[in-house]
Parts: sequence; C-alpha cells; structure tokens
Amino acid sequence: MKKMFYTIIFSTILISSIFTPEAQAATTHASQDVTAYTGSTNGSGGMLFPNKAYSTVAVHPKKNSSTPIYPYGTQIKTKSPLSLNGYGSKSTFTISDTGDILYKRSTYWFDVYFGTSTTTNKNNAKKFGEKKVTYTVYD
Amino acid sequence: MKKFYLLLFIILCLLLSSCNSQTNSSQDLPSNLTLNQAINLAYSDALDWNKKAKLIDATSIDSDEEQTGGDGKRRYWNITFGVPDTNDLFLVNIHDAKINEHAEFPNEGEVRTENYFVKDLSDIKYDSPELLEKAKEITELYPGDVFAKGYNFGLTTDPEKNLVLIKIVGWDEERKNMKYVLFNGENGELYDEFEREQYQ
Repeated sequence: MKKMFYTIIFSTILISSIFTPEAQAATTHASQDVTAYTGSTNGSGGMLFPNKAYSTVAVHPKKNSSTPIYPYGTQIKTKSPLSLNGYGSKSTFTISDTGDILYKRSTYWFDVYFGTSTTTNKNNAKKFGEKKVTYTVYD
Repeated sequence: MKKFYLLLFIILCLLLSSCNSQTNSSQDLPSNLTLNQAINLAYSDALDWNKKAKLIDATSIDSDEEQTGGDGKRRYWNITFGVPDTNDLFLVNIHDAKINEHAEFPNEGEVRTENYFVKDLSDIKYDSPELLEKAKEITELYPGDVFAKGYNFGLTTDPEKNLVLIKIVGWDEERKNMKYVLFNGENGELYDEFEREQYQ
C-alpha cells in the first residue's frame, strides 16, 4: 500500500510537469557563413535607421519560400566577436532584412550591414570578406 | 482499496485544477504587449541584473504566424539594456507577456556613454498604438505579409541629438518597399520617414 502511495505521488509530479509551459530556449548554429554588405543611398539607412550600420543584418528567406529563416527583430549573438572593418569588434546584431535569395551561402548565413555605399564602406565590406561563425539566436 | 480510489480521485482533481488555473491565467492576462508595456516588463528583470541598468533599444519580433500589430501590440519582443560608461549589455526576450529568457553580454562592442541610453523610462511619453495611428495619417502604411509581417515597432536613441526615437514599421501597398516612420518618443512629433526596397 505504501509503495502504491509513493508511486502515485511520483507519477503525479511527473505528469504535472507535462502541463508546465516551458520557455523557448535560444538556438545555436555552428560554422555559418557571414559576409558584409552596403546599401544604396536611397533609403537604405545610415547609422541609425532603418538598417543600423554594424548592428543590423540580413538573413536568407527559407528555401522555396519568401518567409525569412529567422524573423525580423531576432537578435543574433556570435560566439566570438566579429572584427568589423571600420568599426571594431562586436558580437550582437539584429535581423532587419533578407538577402541571397539564390542561396549561395550556408543556410544560417547572415550579412552584416556596413552602411550606405560610400567608397569607404564598400572597401570595408570587401575587406571583411567571408568568415565562418557560430552564433545563437534569440527570437 | 477504497482508500486507493479516494487518493486517486483527489490527485486527479488536483491535476485538473492545475490545468484549469493555467488556462484561466492565460485567458486573463494579455499575451500581446505595446512597446512601453514590453519595456516596463523587461526593465524589472534588467534591474535584477544591474541596479544601474538603462534602456538602449527595443524591437518587436515577427515570430507570429499571422499578421499582427494592427492595434500597436505584439507577442514577441527583444529589449536591450546596458550600463552607461560600460560595454555590458543585457537582453530580455519576451513571449506572450512573459519574460521567455534573458542573456548577459559582457564586454560587447563599444563603451556607451549616457547619450546612448534612455535616461528615464518616464521620458517615453508615447506608445506604439497611438503612434501607429499617427503614422497611418502621415503616410499610407500597410501591414507586411511575408517579412516583418503586420506592423512592427521599435525604440532607440539618437545619441547626437539626445533623442528617444520610436519607429513604426510597415510596407507600401505593393509590399515592395518597407516603410519606416520615426517619432520623437518624448513629444510625439514626426522625426523622419522613408521607404526602403527590401534587400535582395
């Protein structure tokens, strides 16, 4: 009888944990491509809006779809800081755009906005080149 | 045997009442928040991280399946805080009016002086619902259908002008260009507006 009692209590605790909503944990992607881009001077944004230089990034749309691989407003945190030519080092970025619709890069690639297409910014983006990065998303 | 069935009955009642209270809780509390509601919810968490924490920026996250934001509210938010004259950051991620998770980012980027922060949350006098309506009066603003669906909202500062800026994000009628309408968060005046073709 005692064994039955403790078994029922344990089962109750186990079952009640099923009904407890769990927080959605952040997801990490390893060894993904990262590149840099500049935007046209016509409304692409400068240091603040809509794309903030060295802060906002573009991601792929999902394959065979127009929806983004991660939604607008998602925060990205790289495992190691990225050295961004013309800025310095940082590891947090916000998704504000989509790109590379031909999927030339890895699935979870992202493209760091380096500002409007001035000669300096374009050179900095070119010097940044292509890198591999591990990062976590908060969406 | 009778005691066993009685015990089982009591346990089942407890389980059912637990499920009901969670359901009732989710029905009573709003799952969508305005910009300011999200910021205030996140701020209490940020103060637990550091008593000197101040707001840097906020953005809605378009994780919804459908278009939302028509009432100035969203389910998902990322709110970022920091400490002036340091480069430590604290991110609060909100889902359905609750803090889903938070993360500390020490030594992140440049050291930020006071002008990169919102000095006091009471400086933010306007919120996303009324500014969305104001944005629609200023320009034709449509909800996004694929990327940045519905209407999205955000807050940041202009460190050079010491301004709190609230942004309302929508699209043009053809859904080819994203449209941004920025307001001074302290006096509600239009700061800037522009369109941007989505980067391909």
